[in-house]
Amino acid sequence: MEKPKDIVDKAIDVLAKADVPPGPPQELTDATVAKLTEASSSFQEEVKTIKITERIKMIKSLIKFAAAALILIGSGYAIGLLSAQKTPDIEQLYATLEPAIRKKVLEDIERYWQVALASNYAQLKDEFQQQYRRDLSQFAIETLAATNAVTNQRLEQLIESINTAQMQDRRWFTAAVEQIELNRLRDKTQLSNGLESLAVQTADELEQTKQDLVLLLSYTQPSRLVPNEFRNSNNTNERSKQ
Amino acid sequence: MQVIDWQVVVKKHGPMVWQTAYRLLANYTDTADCFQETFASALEFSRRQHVRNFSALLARLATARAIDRLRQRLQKSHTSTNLADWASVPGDNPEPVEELQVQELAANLRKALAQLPPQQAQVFCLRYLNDMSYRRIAKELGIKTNAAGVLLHRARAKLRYLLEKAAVIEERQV
Repeated sequence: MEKPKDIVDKAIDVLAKADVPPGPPQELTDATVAKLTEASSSFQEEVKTIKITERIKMIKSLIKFAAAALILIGSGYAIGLLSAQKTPDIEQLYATLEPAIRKKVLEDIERYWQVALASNYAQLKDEFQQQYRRDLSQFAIETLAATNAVTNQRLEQLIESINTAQMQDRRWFTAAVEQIELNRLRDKTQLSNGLESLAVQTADELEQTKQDLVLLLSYTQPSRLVPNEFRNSNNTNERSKQ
Repeated sequence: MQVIDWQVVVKKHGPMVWQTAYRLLANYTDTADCFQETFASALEFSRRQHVRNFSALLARLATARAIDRLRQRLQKSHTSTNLADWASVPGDNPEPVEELQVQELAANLRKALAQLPPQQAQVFCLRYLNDMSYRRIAKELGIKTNAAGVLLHRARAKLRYLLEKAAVIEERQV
């Protein structure tokens, strides 16, 4: 028989298999990165400030050291001068002491710079790396902006040329329609004139035909039927029809 | 000082932090806050010492921040876990009673975790939810491996007691 599962194991299973929405959302990621970058850079600024302060302190201590060395040398010189039985040759003493002092001070300065450079090497490397990244990002942003601007400009030009072409097409189309309309009106006028002429001619010819018929009838009818009477009888027939 | 490209870190480990936090909190807003707090803590940590394993560090920090939030919830007596976001979406097994039981069990475990001592809760979550080895947990928390085992054992015992107690109370209510 299968052993019933421990309630803790069950709960762990449930929690481990719980539905988790895909994430994090992009806005949250961006906001977090921005905050972290900002906090990181401000911290670096603080560190930089501290380093500068330390450097100033080191320089101050060096100056103090140099001053103490000078005082010591000066006092030694003074003591020697005072305790000497005979007055020493100042020029000779100066010539003897100067190279030693100069050498000592130079050694101290050199040692200080070596220490300072060694301690700052890692920091300088980091700073250069960050500067390099910042420059790259800036360059990428500027390039992107420039590309966008050029693309927009090209698109605007394209839209403008399309609009111009459309306008030109529309003008041509309007001119063609106007021409067609003018042709239609002219044809209509000609047609109506022709029809009128035809109607007039037809009426004339009809009249002529009528007269010809009358004449023809006058030739074929008996002589007693004069054309006036025939005309009267025609009129009577017309009246009876009405 | 260690130079860290946070964009890469967030991109690489963000989903893991999000999963860890959401699994414990089951609430979108709390998870988002926990996400930011985790990375802020990681930044603080990186200022103090060199980070070799961001994955483990972020898992530990996310778990710790999520447990802190659970404890705050418990203190404020916000006992009802807000499951409105995704838990309300029907799963593959749409049996309502079973679904409810599962949700209740998860909520009880979260509540119980909030009642554990923080280190015990952290060891428990790292072991069972993040699948970390005892050695890794011990290294991350700065304790001995044996101590991690003891903490885990105690956490399990206390969780069992709390979960059984919660189950009995729910049965009585039914």
